[in-house]
Amino acid sequence: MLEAFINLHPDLPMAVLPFVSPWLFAGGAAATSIPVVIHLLNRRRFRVKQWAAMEFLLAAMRRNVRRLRLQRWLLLLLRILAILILAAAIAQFTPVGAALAPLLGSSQKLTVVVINNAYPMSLKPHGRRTAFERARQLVVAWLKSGTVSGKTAIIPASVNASSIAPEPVIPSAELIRRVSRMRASQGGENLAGALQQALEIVKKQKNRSSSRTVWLLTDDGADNFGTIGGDHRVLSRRMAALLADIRRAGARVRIIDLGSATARNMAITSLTPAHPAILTDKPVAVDYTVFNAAKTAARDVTLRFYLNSTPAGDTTLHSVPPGRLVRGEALLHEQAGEAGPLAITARLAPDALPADNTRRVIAMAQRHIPVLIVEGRPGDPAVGQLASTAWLGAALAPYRHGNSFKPQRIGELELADHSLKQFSAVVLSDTPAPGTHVAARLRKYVTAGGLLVIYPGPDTTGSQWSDTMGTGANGLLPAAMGAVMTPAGKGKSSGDVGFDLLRSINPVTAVFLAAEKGGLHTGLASVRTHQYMLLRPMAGSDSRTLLYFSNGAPALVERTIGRGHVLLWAVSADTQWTDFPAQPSFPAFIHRLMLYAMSNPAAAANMLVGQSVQMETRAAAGNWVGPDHSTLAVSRALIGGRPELTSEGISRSGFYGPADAAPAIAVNVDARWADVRHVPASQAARLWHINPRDILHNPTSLAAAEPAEAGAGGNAGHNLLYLALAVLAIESITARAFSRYQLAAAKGK
Amino acid sequence: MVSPEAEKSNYRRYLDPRTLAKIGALDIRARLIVEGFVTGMHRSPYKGFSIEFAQHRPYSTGDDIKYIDWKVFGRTDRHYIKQYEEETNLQVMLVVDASTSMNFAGEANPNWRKFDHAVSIAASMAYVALHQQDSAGLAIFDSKLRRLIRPSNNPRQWRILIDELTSTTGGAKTDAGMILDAVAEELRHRSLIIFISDLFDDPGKIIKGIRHLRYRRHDLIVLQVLDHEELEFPFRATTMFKGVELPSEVIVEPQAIREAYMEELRRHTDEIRTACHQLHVDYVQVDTGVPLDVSLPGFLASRESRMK
Repeated sequence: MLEAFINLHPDLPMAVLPFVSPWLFAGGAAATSIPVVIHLLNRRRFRVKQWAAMEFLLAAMRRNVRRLRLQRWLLLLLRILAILILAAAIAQFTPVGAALAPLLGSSQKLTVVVINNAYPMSLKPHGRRTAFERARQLVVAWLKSGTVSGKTAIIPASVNASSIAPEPVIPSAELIRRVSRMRASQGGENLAGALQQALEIVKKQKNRSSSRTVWLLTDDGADNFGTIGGDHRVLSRRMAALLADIRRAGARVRIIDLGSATARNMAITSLTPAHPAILTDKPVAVDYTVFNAAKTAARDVTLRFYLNSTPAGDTTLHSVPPGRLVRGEALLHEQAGEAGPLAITARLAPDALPADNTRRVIAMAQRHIPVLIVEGRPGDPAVGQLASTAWLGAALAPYRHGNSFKPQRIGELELADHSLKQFSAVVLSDTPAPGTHVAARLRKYVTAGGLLVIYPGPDTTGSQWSDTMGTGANGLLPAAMGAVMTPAGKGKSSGDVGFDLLRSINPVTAVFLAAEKGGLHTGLASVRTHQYMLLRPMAGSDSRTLLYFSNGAPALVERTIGRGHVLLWAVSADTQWTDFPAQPSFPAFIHRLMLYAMSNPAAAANMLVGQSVQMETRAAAGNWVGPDHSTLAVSRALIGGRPELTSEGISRSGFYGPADAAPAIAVNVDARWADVRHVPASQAARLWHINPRDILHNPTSLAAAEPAEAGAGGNAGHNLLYLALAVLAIESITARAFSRYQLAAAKGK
Repeated sequence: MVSPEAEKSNYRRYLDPRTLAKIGALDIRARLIVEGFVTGMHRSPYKGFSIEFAQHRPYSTGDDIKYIDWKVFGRTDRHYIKQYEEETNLQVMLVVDASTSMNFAGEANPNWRKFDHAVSIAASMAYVALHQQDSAGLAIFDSKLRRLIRPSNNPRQWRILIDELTSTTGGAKTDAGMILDAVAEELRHRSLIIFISDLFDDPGKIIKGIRHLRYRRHDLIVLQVLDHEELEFPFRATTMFKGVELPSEVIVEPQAIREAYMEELRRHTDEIRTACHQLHVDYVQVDTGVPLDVSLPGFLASRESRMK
């Protein structure tokens, strides 16, 4: 009944029920009726005896009736009290009041239990329980063992984890219930965040507790020390610093290592469309990375791909080295077919950790990529003068039909009123510095995911651009635009500068560089530029120079703003300053650059477990359907003045979307934490700067692993047992004393 | 089912040879001299004028001249008084309580009632008395005197007493005080009265009856027969006690009331014992749980030592 009551009132403060097993206490409380029932039964169940000396018996009764009644009630009370105390002892009574605790031997000790419940803890070795299940079982058994002393905080260490006991509480049935119901998250690890929380608790409770212990229950996998592709030293140092701070705050640290030396895992760590925009009439290409978290190489690893749940091809990796990330690109034999969101799935064969064997991505299939070209120098066909973007337009759409890009040209004056939202990229060529209104529109466009490409030209005044568009944190330009430079030289050609490809290694130039190294003439290396605008990337900003001139000056600078990008060229889009548009590499370079810098229009639809929906979409709000018919409450809200869909953090990986509609979002586990290879205690101790003896590998119980000085005491259970025995002894002595009193009183008469 | 005839023939069970052997080794001696001149072992402290010559003594003033031995006077010319040794005839009156309360038997030996114990004692005493040529009589009572057999040393007396004892069945509440008065009125000669009862009656009435008997100069022995359970109250489980004489019942936890009960019983017996002591009456409490061949010889031995 009590359990049902607790279930009905999950928010009931734990202090109200200061028992580890309140139902046992309830049973014990009910058992207090036993002496009463026995008494009543004895009154009803008696034997009958014929008796001759009745006068003496009646006289004795008359003389002692009040005393007998008093004695009976007193003894009954003592028996009930003994049972009640016994019940409290069995139910592991934990005194709530600080004053009562020392009296009952329950000292104010603090234990902070950090349980790693990130998805790698779900790795299930063959025939064994997961590390998380063992961690949970250890904590529950410990809480139920009766050796728990003082207050306990339980902190899950995963991204977006539900809190268990973020503040120290007296262990109770409610706490046990919460821990028992704890589930391994599909989120990534957050050991540092959990330890930071533990540190705060230890500091706060330093003067309120006699001793402090922090337990970290984890698998000691490589993911505990760093992410795949990340710098392991960063997380390890952070962890070491936190553990040192915890020790300095007066707490002992125990690492409960529940990992397995044979743990291995194969994970798809990323899956993206090879190009931001997928064209409906072209085969879909995807990029992927696979990680082998094992001590031996994985052979013949097959990935199967699906487009909207339809098999779309597979690829086999003949060998994935241990602890290595293998990148690959797969060209699927299926096309998107129709414009709109496209659900792409990649799957590995199931292994001990299935959460990262499947990777999903939502891409936007388009018939073509719309590009808005704002022409600042339209030229004069009558005199044979080409527009400044003529070369660019030709490069983007070289054919009459079947072009990937669909450029649309407008004049600079039209920009103020022209809708930008429908274009994947906006190109400004040799336009005057835009006004404040246009600058604000452009900024909004880029922030929402658009690509802005700026070409200077003879009519461009760099200083005005810098002033209007801004270069700081709130600005739009990746670099300050300066004067137009003419390389020094005696002849025209002798003053020209080319591109410094060796200094400009990036995904855009990599192909050209490789081709050049392979002996192919791409033309990129022979580009000659005789005039350029001096660009000064902002120091400390997120600007990046993609292309350098041979004289070291930036030729192309990139900046990410919001979800979009800005590309700023130092040369004009035509051949006024450079011969690059006339080079054969120009169309390929432009295509590659645009696709590189353009954002995936469905980027907001791809997220990790723990993240929440925040996107502009035409999909309907309401309860979206997820994996295994789970639901996700999605509502529409105005964010930054724009209507967007929002939700709470998503806890499961899979596709989600409105019922009876195509998936709107793809949610994946954060596979950066997929490296489950076990780190030996000695190495872990070295990385975290702790004593190897403080790392306990697979202990049978937390009580056994508890530091000796912290393990003493326990809750008040043992002392209550003694108290119950004492009350029983008092009852026995009282009963005897009553008999003696009776005799003495009789003698006195 | 034992027939009445068989029961009668079984009377000898009251005379356990072990019991009688021990009693036979002791002398029952009356503390006071009672009247009678039959041969026996009970010598009178008084020298009187009876059948057996004892001695001569010089005549002194005041002696009755009819006792002067004229033959001696003729030979010696002196006056001597002729004295005879007088032997008394002890009359033993056994007064046995046959009330309902005497039918109580404890759980340890449910076939051995207090009445059985009392009858055994009476039979033993009668046998010894008759064996010594003393007279023995019997009175059986409950709320009134049911049967009275006057003391006699007739050889058939033993059979008569035993038949009466074995055929008696009580049935009413004790009225010991009244019975003692009645016995006192019935006995003409001074007798040794052995009063055997559980004394579950008003102590005042009992003491009044004893005082009446003593007033009539009877010697009195009071044997209070109680069952071992009545003396010890050894019960543990909750019990409803139903009175065998009183129409009442009470449910008690025996352990809680034991001491109080025993104190009440002790107070009752102490009152009677004190009165007996003051009236020079022997009082003995007999536990039915203790065999007769243990309790009676002890009592008689102590009584004999007091007589000396």
